[in-house]
Amino acid sequence: MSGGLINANPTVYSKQERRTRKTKAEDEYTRDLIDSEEIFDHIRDIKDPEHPYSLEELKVVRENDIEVSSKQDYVRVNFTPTVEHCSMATIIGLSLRVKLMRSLPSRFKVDILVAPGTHATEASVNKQLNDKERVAAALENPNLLEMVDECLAPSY
Amino acid sequence: MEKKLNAWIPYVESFVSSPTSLNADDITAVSKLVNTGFLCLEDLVKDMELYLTSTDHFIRNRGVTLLAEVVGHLQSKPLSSTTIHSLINYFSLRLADWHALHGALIGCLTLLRRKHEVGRVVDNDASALADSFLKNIQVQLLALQDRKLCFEILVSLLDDYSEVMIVLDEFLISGICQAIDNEKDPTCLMLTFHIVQSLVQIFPDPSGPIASAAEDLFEILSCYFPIYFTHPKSDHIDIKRDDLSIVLMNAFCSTPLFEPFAVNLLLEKLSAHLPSSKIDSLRYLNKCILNYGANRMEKYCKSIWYSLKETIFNYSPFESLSESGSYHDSQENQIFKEASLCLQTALTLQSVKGKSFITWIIEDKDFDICVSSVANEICYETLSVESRRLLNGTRTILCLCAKAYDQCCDRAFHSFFPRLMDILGIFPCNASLDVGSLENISSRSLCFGALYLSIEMLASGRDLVLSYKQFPESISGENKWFQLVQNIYSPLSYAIGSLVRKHGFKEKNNITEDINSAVKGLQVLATFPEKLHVSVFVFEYILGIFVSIITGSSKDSDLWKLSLKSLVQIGLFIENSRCPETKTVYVSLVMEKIISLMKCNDSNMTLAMKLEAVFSIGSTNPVYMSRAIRDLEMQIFGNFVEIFVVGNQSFDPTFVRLLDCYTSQVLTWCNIKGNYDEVAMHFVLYIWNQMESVSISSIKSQQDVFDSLIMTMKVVVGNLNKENQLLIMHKGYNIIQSRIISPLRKLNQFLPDNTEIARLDLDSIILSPYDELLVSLFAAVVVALQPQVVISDIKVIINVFSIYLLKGHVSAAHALGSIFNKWPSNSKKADEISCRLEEAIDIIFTKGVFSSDIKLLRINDDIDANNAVHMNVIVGLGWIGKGLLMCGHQKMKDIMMVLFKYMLTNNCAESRLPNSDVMGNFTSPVLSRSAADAFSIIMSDSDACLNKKFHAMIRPLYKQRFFSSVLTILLSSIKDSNISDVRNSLYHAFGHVISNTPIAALLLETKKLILPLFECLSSLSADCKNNDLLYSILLVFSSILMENTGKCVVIENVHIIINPLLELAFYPYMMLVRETAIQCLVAMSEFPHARIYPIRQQVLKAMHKALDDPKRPVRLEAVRCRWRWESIA
Repeated sequence: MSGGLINANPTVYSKQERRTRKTKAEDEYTRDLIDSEEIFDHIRDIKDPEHPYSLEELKVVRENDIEVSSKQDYVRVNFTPTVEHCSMATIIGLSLRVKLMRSLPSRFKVDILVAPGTHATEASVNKQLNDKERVAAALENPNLLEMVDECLAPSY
Repeated sequence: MEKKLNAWIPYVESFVSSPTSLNADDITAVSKLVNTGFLCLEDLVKDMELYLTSTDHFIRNRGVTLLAEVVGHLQSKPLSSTTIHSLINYFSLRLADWHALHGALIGCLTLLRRKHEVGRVVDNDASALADSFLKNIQVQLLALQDRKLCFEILVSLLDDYSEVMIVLDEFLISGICQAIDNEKDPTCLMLTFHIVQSLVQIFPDPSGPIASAAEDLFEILSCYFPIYFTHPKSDHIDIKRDDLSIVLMNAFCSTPLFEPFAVNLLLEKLSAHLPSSKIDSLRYLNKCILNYGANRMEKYCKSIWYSLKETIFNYSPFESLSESGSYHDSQENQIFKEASLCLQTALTLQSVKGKSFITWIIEDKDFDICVSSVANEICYETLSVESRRLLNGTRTILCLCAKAYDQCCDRAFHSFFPRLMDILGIFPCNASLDVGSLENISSRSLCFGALYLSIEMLASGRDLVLSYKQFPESISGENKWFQLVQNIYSPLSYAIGSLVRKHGFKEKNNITEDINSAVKGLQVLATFPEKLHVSVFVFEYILGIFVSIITGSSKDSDLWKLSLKSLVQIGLFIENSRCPETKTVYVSLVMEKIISLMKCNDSNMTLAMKLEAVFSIGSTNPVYMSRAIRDLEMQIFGNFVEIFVVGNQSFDPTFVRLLDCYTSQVLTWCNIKGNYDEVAMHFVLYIWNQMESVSISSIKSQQDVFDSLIMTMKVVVGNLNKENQLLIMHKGYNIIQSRIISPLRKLNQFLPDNTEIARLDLDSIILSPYDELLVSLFAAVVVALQPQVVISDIKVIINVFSIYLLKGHVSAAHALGSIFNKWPSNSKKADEISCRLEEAIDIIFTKGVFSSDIKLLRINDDIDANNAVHMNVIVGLGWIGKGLLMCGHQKMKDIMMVLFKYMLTNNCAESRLPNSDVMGNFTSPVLSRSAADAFSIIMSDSDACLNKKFHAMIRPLYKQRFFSSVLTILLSSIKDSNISDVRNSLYHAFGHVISNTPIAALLLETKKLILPLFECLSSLSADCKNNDLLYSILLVFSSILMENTGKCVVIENVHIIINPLLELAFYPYMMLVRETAIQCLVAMSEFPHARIYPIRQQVLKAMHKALDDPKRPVRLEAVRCRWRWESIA
């Protein structure tokens, strides 16, 4: 890289209002199922690696692009890089994966996928993000891990 | 002389030779000598000659400084004019000596600041000083401290010696310009801005010396606008950006001579993007317009109008239309507010020859188009953000025009109002047309924009007229705006009326903005000044619409509330108006109708609505309010008879609601109006009279009816004055005497002086429902009495309450607690009741039911019944203990010991079990638990009694005192007990005590508390019934964690408490407990690394599990907690 930003001027959107969900007293024993809103709450505040905006503000992640099946313990997140040739897509995907890894019970299987047709090397990015070995290897790299942690910091 | 020399010379030497800039002790010592007269100032100067004239710069500087400082300490000592003269001359001359400048500046300043009474610098000397100052000092080359002194000298000279300064003329002006140019320090800037302001004010002549220097002066000032101030908060400087901005603004506006430079600069900065710059520009502009005068501002009117218009349109709030005052304080709204204020000021500009400001608005074609387009908007809800801003902006501008002054309002109405009426399709017509045809004409839907704007304009116009004390004739003349309004008054009213009426008939509808403004419109039209010669028909018509909405044709509760609010507003207006005609109409149409609602049963309004309507409307007129109160009382009394005499249960909900309204509405109103005692006495006496005359056979009603009546009684009596309370108490006592005490005496069960009630055969005393009600009401009265009111025949009363307590009436326990709490402390009062507190306690304590010897309490062999009686005793002990504790009585300790006995006697019980006699089983775990719960009664605040409202005697820090006295016993008992039930009860008591003690007291004992606290949590977590207690104890722990002292103790014990805390993170019965436990863990992750690293894995493992918690908030906390603990590695 020549040091310039990949997308120097991203469009910034407004944030969605945070909903507070009340639990009634008599509901003490019912189970709140994990749903797309909860997953979205986990990942909305992750910072973009290039800009001081959250993934929500850049519409990289959207609540509608999250699929959750609580019974089958499955989560799928589609994310949309801001430009087609974004080389940060893997970092964003990795951040999403790490955040969900740390936030969900281990019984869940998580798929992180680039939204179809939004990235030039879609297939290879998807393959990298969903290969256990490769993810583990990437997290062994201290530089990469530091970058991911920096992106995740605002989301806690 | 010798002695004197010895006294001060060492100080001077130490000061002069010390390298530090200030040596306060030496100065104080020397000045004390001078002040007390030991040393003459002249002598001091003479003897210091060597220092003052030394050729060594350092020594000379220190010498001059010392002299100046000493003079500074003599501000209140009178000095002769010669002394002052020679001193000021000396210091003035020293200004030329650069090396001794610091001292000379201090000297000049302190001399200038002297008060007149103690001798001050004369004008000639001041002039010489100024001269020397301007000739010798180049301020901007000096250090910060000296610059500040220089500016302070200038301020003093300009403010106190302005006549002398005038003579210096241009020399002074150029000197000051030079001195203040390029200053950067905020404290100095505060002074320089002030200097400019004072300077231009001493040369007010527009052709004087300032005129030529104005440009230079303004150039110096303008560099600072808008103030850009980035000092961090922690800085020692105590100046805020706003302070600087205000002082600079005053300098800007100090003279009209700045006008050619200032206004253009401000308009330019107004168009900048920076919000703070916009706000400042608007504020400055506002003040400049006021200070520069209309003639000078005239040429800027056009550009000011365009700038303000743009700002208002761009920054108008768009969230909602209602109540423009309540916007939250964002920068955007601030800009809007300042712009509106500025426009308001600008509108007052009326120059002698040129156009007035309003002309520019009227002649602005763009604005004209904008009004037309906004007025044609059909519906508010579908507008875009931009259009909403436009609408709000247009409204603001039109309203400000209509509110400014007569002619302005007149012109605004003539230019815009007819157009709005055209869009609405309303044409001037004769008011005598009948309503039906008018409503038909205007039955099509009204255009929202025009409706909204016209109503807002009308409201502003009305406010303008009402703001005059005397109605000006000029308004109502021919061709004035009033004429305009008169012409459309009727058709507009009918059009809006039919819109509201139609909406009222709809089944279910959210209230829209057009209905909102329509209701407001009707209200505005009804509150136009009577001089408008409004036809009474229209007024009647408007009131009729509101009344019909209120009395039930509407299903929309928002519209109902709005209408009621409008009627109240109209009522308040009518109250203040002098027109008898409208008053009569309002009374007959609204008052009579609404007030009579209370009596009629066939209306389709709910009771709550009726009460709200009646008391809202009643609040506009005292006469009608008292009628409403009378009606409400009648209803309450009727219900009382139905429920308690006839036994008709169906009246229960109504009765509760009526009582609620009585306490909330009537009593508050009476309190304000000052006839509280009269109304309240009527109420209470009625109840007593009923109780005296009727017989009540059975009470089927729910507990809440009962509670509501008792509570009302307490509140009503509580606010009475002492004399009336005494009356009520006597009356109640008489009834008790005849209906309860006498029968008991007859039964020979009751010998007040030395009976041991414990020997009473409780079963033989049968309480009728009437007795229960009577005693509860009397208990309510006793609870609410003021301490000064003496209760008659107190021993008997205590006995009566004791019996009722044993029968399970908590209200009797409240009364007993209250009696002991308010026992008169001074001997005179005590004589009156012929019984001392100790004696009274004896009645119930050693002889009576609460005997400390539990065996006495054995009443019959039925264990359950026995337990029930004991539980009542415990509750009673709780309340009495609370009363004694609050007033700080020693006997509290005895009660505490009895409670402990109850908790601990399980020990004996178990040991006696083999005997299997009744005695052995008789203190069951149930009793021990209720004894523990009595601690909750003692410690927690209660609404029912023993609070400020009911005049309890409350010693400060009583909770803390109880906590420290009970803690040791509790902890040692816990340690000693080895039976799980007993220990559980003790933990319960412990929990109640610490969760109610203020945290400051707990922090002193954290070391002792922390481990028992966690044992207590573990013990309580075994049972799901303890949720609330568990949660409040956990909250205690979390607040300990927040404080530094507490934190240290927790850190020491972290390895012990971690296990119970982690268990609580999985407490299955209450989400809040789990969430709080995890929050505590988050807070603990900040602890020193070495302490928490060993438990890190354990926490992480637990949090991993907590990620799968059934509840979402817990999971979210767990994610956070896990991350915090992961990142401490």
